[in-house]
Amino acid sequence: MSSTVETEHHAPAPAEPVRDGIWRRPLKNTGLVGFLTTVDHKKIGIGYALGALFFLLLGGIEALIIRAQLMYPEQELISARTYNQLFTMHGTTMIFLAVMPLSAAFFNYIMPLQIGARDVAFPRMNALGLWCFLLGGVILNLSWFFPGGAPAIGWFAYAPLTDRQYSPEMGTDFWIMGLQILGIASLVGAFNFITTIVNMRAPGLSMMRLPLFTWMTLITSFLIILAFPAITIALVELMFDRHFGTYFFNVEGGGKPILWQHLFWIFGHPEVYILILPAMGIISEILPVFSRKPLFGYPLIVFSGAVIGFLGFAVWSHHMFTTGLGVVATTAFAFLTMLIAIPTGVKIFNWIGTMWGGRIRFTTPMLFSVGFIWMFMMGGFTGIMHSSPPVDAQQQDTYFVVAHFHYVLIGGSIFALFAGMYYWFPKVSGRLMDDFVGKIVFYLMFIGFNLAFFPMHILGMTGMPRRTHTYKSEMGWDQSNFWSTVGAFILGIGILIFVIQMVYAFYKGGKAPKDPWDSRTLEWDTDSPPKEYNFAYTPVIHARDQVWEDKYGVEAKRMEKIAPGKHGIHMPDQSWWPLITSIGIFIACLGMVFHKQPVPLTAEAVFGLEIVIAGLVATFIGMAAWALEGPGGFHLHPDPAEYAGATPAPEDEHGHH
Amino acid sequence: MATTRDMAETQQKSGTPDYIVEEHKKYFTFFNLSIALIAITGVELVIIYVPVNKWFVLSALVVLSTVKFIGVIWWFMHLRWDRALCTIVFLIGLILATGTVTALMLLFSRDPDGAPEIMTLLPPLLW
Amino acid sequence: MSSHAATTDDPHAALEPLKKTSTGIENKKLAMWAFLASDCMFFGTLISTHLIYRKVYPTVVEPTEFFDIELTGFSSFILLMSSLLMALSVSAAHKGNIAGMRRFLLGTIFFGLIFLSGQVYEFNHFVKDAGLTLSSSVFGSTFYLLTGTHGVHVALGVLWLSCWTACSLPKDWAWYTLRGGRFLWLPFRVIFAPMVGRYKHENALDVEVAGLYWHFVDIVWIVIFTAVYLVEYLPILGF
Repeated sequence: MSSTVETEHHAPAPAEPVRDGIWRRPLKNTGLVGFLTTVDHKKIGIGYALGALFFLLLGGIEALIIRAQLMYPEQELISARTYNQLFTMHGTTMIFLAVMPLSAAFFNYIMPLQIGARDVAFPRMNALGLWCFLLGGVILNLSWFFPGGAPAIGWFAYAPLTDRQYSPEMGTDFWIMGLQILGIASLVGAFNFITTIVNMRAPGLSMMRLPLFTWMTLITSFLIILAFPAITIALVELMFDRHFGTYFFNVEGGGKPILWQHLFWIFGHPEVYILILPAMGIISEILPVFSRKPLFGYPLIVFSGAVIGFLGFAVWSHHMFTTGLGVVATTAFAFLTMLIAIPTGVKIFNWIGTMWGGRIRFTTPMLFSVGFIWMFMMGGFTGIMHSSPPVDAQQQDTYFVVAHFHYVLIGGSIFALFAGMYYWFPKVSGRLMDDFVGKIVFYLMFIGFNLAFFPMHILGMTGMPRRTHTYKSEMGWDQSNFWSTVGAFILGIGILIFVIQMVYAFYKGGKAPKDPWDSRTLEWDTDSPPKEYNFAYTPVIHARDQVWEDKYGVEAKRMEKIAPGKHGIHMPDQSWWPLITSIGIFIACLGMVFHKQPVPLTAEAVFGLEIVIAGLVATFIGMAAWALEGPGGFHLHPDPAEYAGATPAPEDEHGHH
Repeated sequence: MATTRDMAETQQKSGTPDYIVEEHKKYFTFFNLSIALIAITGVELVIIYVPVNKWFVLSALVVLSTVKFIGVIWWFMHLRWDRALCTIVFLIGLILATGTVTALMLLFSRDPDGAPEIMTLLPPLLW
Repeated sequence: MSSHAATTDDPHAALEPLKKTSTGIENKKLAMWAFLASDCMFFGTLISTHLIYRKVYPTVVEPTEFFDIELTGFSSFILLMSSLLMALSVSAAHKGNIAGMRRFLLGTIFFGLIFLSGQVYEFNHFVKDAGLTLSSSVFGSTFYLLTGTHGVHVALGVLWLSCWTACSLPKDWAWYTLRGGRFLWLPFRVIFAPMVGRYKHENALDVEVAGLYWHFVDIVWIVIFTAVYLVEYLPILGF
């Protein structure tokens, strides 16, 4: 080892600008190019939201077709196979393409604003997440257009139904690769959010001052990075079974289909919390604002969120009580499942405590939030019923379970996400949404939802099985099914009015001020919509509900502002490479679907692994060019009026920028 | 080795920056660690043939590979010198993974019917 | 962050701005540790799959008949040595000793390639002599997927470290190869030439992060070596 420090070739920076990457970086931040190359977390968040809303409508239409088929006994509106495809695609779409990305939209848009950051830690990776999500949705839905159509395996895809022998069509391959690419989207997003929340908080914003929504984003991100590997590997194993003749789940060669169930639910149960924890975070933001009280028991809500997340990994087998796990395992998993009721109950009491004695304003977001508490509680109660193995044995695979998880997913997640959309729409668009129309939407959704799903409890109790294409009139299920379908259509009308209202408000709504709701957290301190650089100043935080303290608090708790230095605000450059990388991944995934499969027109298996290799090469080129290009960056100089009253920046210690 | 260490100390006196001295110290740590890791691997390779109770050997293997594991993450991966948060983040994943593997192993048991015929009838070479 | 910033001659000072985060941990390092936590679950799932089928069908395959524990032991030795070299190259990077860093990186890559060749040889031997393929039995399926995934991790690590090696080459190096075997080096030039001469002192963090990944691949092998290879030599493990 040479003990002297070698200084080989780090001469002072070259005078001429270095051309990073293969071509010049895109600079135009408007129009199509601006959107395709964006690294702005706000635009990416809007991209997630629009994609998620599209898929919400698509999944909703699939649900309505299912309900129409079940409206009357012994109907043949759609064939049994189409029915199977519809419930498979409905479940997969709603979970992976609607609720998760809608939560991700809020993570992207709101979280960096709440912590006073200029962007996320890795802006280009964030763009990769968006493109992977959209292309994953495309792959999944491409299956409709190929021979055999969409997958008909259920969103849980239990082996051995997914074996080539029982599902020979390409639908299942589309499903596998679609989920794989969606997993990449969720994973890169989650790594990004963890780093951002832990590392990029404004000065003074300690962890225990973080807004609750940001906390739940953090916990959800941890759940994503720890749960998705299980499904990724399970999907790889299934892919090998279908394409390369392995025996992971194939009974003939000694595979155990039960292993798929385990691996799936090791992912699947934390996934349930990935869907509900962001919703809980949104509710914990909205309730204090409209009760004009601080959140009751903040540390407890944070802690119980973490406990729910952790316990979520130890309860997966409660989805498999009827498979015969043995007495010890069943008891252990039943016990752990019941334990989760405690932190969940704690949260509900905290929310009630927040409202208690507050001056409540029943605006649309508040109505949805209160609706959430009630509906989520109903779903929670039936959940506790399922945690008892003997009761579960009665309810397994009946409509009772369908009622349960729609209460937590629609009454829970969707209501909270709608609350969030009504709450943050003025911030995102700079426009107000009409409260009266909003209330109509809420009541339509609330009544329609309960009418659709409450009868399912009774249907399940009287023995109607899940995933049944039709039923005999003598079973006595006609009435409940009829009203359930009516309810589903009312719910659908509610959501449709919401979409129309949002589009209308975007163009014609009244101008939204900075803080239309008299809110409490940092995102309401910046413009509506926020400028590209989020905050013209660096906020210095002195309280948990900083914006509330600024308005009503004591002098000592007021926010301080630090003006940008003389070089302005540093912004990351736009880039084509996230999009190109995601297209590479997309091609590789499509290639895997077509591997040794009959493709249209020729009806012969023409492709080996060529397309996969081409896709992987494209991915590598995309990533290498991405790395070579570097984050780049430019400086913006906000109008000094925007940071009036801010203390001047301390002279930059490390002398560059 | 001692001479090099002396050299490092002399350099410190003569104004070598602290971080360089730190890195010099790490050099010896890394070197000793790698010798230990190889020694443990050698021991592992030998003890599987030692004719004592095999459960004892198994326990020894688990302990030895855990020691190797900790050696690599603690020194090679700098956890010793980094902030505790890095260790915590990694341990969350490690503990959950260990727990999941253990639970899965306990949930499965030997197939009472034995392997399917296809796996037992044919000699490996014909598969 | 400040990768766009002008280079500084002080390797230590170059890294300081990256530490100006809420926790003092660099963003990339924190993200890498989160990724490694996630990767624990990836390999946990793969190892479970393999061990579960060993437990379910303990007698169907007798892996010791075709395992070559000397070769595998040698592979372990190689990977541990590569970890040492990796640690040393990170150390050299932090000292600002770019030439030393490059030498150690090359050593790491070389050992990584030896490990990969060992794996290719091993797979070849299992397929040809023992008839063990992906679809010969469930043991073949789980074994190849587990060790193969690890091999892919090693290969990606080699690729990653090669990129940083190329970056650390002096700027005039590209011209040197152009004069030498122009066609022989063409593929390398196409891939690596744009990287040559790009290394700055602040990139020590990137080498360190790549190093974390490399060491993780090593610890996964420590687990696989014990759980997949060594335990097979203990006949009680009919479970």
